[in-house]
Amino acid sequence: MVGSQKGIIKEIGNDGDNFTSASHKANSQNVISVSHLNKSFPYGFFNKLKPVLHDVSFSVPKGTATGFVGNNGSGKTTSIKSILQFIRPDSGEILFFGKPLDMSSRAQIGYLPERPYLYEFLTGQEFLRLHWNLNGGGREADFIQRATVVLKKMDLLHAKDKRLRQYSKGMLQRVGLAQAILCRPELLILDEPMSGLDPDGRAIVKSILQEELQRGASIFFSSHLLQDMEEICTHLVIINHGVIIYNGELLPFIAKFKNLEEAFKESKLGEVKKT
Amino acid sequence: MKKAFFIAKATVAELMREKFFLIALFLGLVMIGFSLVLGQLSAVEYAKIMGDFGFTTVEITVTGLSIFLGSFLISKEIDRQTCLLILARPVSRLEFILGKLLGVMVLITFTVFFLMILILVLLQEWNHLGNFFIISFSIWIKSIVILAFVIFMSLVVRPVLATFAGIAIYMLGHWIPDIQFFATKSKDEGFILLSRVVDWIVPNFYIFNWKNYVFLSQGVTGKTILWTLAHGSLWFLFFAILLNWNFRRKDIV
Repeated sequence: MVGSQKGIIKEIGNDGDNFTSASHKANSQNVISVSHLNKSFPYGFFNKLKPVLHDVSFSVPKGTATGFVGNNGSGKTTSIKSILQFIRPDSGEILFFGKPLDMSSRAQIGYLPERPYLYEFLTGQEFLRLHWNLNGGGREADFIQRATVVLKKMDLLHAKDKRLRQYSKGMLQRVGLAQAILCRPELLILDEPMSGLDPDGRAIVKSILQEELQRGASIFFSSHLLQDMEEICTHLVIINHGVIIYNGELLPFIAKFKNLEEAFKESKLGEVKKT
Repeated sequence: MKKAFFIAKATVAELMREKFFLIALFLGLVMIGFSLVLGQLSAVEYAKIMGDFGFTTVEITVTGLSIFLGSFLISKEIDRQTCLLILARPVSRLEFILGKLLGVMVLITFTVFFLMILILVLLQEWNHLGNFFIISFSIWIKSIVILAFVIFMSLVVRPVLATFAGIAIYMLGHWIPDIQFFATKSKDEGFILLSRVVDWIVPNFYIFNWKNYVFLSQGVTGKTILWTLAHGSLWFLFFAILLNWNFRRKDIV
C-alpha cells in the first residue's frame, strides 16, 4: 500500500470512523459480509501461486448502493466470483444476510456478469423464462406479466421475440440486467453494468438501479465510470492490488475533493504498482 | 431435478440450431441416400449392403455428435461465461451438468431414432423392427458413454485434445479383442500386460457391435443385451461421476 493510500484511510478513519476493521462483520444490517478472503491462482509452467486477493474484508449494508472500485486486475471480478462461489477462496468467510450462501439465499440475488454472453439462439423472452424457472418463479401468467414490465423498463419489449444473437451489445447488457431484476431480488450484484452502453442505455440502467433502491433492494456493483457511481452509490469499497483500502460511506471519502474521480486520482489509489 | 430439465430444454434449443448439428444430420441423410445407390450393386444382398452402410452412417453421425458437441459443451460455457448466470441462480453444479448432459442425450436419441426409422422405411424390413430397435439402443449407449468421457476430458484438457481423446477411446474400445489377440499371439509379457490394462481402463465397445445380427432370425440374446447394458451404464456412470466431481471443484475464472 502506498503512503498516500495509508494517509487517506487514516484521515477518513479519524474524521468519520468509516473505515473500521469491524465494519465487515456479520450483522443483520449487512447483506454481504466478506471476512479475510484470500485467493491465489497458479501460473506459469510450475504452477507457482500468485496471490490475487489478500485478506479482503468488507460489507454491503442493507438497502444501500455500494460501489466497488479498483483498477483493472485489482481483484474486483475475482472478489465477486468468490462471493457467488464461482471461485473457491483459499480462506475466508462470506455471509449473505448473516448466513453462508445457500440455495435459498441465491434465489434472492440478481447477478449480471462483466460481459454477459448469453445463449444466443434463445429469444429475449425465452432467456428470461429460463431464469424465471430456474429461480422457481412460478406460474406462466405471472412470468408473462413480470417479463413484460421488465422488458418495457429496459426498452426491449419490441425485441422480446428476437434471438439474442440479433441483439446489439447495449441490448444484451440491458436484457442481462432484465434477468437480474426479473425475480425482484433483495440483492443485486452487478459487474460493470454500464460498460458498453450509450448515454441513453446508461440513463436507463441508472434509473432502474434507483428504482430498485427505492423498492428496498441492496446493490453492489463494480464500475470504472466513477461519475455514474457517485450519482448512485451511498457506500464505497475500494480495492487495489487485491487489498481493500476503503470500505465505508461515500461522502466522507470525497468530502475533501471535488468529486469521486478527483478523490480517486488525488489519493493515487489508481496508481499501478510497478515492480 | 426440475431445474436440470429446464437447462436441458435450453440446451436442446441451442444445440438444434448449431451449424455442426445441422451439418452432421444433413451428412447422415446424404450417406443414407448414398446407401440406396450402393444397395443397387447387388440384387441379392441389397438389404444387407444398405443396412450395413446405413447403420455405420448412424454410428458415425452420433459418435461425431457426441465427440464434437461434448468437447465444447461445458468448456464453451466456461470460456464465454454463459454458465455464470445459470450458476448464480439456485442451481447446483450437479443440476447444471445433468441438464447439459441430458440436453445432448436428447439430441443424440433423436438423431439415432430419426436415422434408424429412415433406414427402416427405405428397407421396408418391418419384420426386423425389434432388431432395429436393439441396434439403435447399442449405438445410443455407446455414444452416451463417449459423450460423458469427452465432457469430462474437456474439463481437464483443452477441448481440441478432448476431441482427440474421444476419437482415441472410440477406436481403442473397438480394438480391445484384436489387441488381446495379438498380445496372446506375441507371448510378450509386456504386451499382454498392456492389453490387460487397456481392457481395464477403456470401455469395451466391441461388445456393442450388433449390426450383423439385424437380418438373423435369432438376433441378439437377452443375456448379451443385459450384459452390454450393464457394461455401458457403469462406464457412463463412472465418467458422469468423474465429470461432476471435477466440475464441482472447478474455479470458473
